[in-house]
Amino acid sequence: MRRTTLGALFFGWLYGVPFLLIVGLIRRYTLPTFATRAEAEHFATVTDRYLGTALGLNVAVPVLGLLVAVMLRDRYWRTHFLGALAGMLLFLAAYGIAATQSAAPLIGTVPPALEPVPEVTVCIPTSGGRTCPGG
Amino acid sequence: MREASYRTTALVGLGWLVTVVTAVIAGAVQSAGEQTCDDATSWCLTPGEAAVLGLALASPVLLAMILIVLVLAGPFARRLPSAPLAGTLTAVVAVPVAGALGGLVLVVAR
Repeated sequence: MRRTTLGALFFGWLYGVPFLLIVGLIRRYTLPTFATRAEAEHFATVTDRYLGTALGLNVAVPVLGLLVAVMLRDRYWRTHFLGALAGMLLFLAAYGIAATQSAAPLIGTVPPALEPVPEVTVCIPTSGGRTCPGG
Repeated sequence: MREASYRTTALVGLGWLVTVVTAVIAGAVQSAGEQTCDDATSWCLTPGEAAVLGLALASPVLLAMILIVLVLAGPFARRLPSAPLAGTLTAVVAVPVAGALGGLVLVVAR
């Protein structure tokens, strides 16, 4: 029972983290153009969630699994979660390489939208500064 | 040193293939947007059609990768005590092996 739980935790980390990382990085690198800014922001939020979850699970699962395996005195899974700590560093390194290759920050970049930036239509003259046309 | 089981090692290696392929498809489909071919003047592929076409073109490579993983899992399982480690290394090594085989095929077929 506890062996299967630890195994599920381990394989969830082993396959889940790279899955989320790959999906998140593809979403971030392709930067599709959206019709409205709201859509673009929603896309960016979901992408951030993919990458953030991947990073969070990458750190949390090996540490948690190691703690549980040590508490349960499970030698097999203790060794494997120690290995997972090394794998965690590899995943972080992969993320770091992706971050240095990317022009924009991986988390917090909003893709372009076709919707124009709202124009300021009311002109307020400032003393000593700009003057308004016709006034 | 204990040997890893061949079956688990091969399964872990194949699991890597499945994970990476599904992640690439999921990422590509999600970021494809909502392009339609309704107002296309010349030939046009919707993201879904492009995904199917890409998968069809990649299928020989995937088949070769599966076979390479099944073959390499044996020696890796014999030399390493842990099946997850052996399977992961099998999948990692299968990539350059598949690349080298693909290059060889291109050179021979020329």
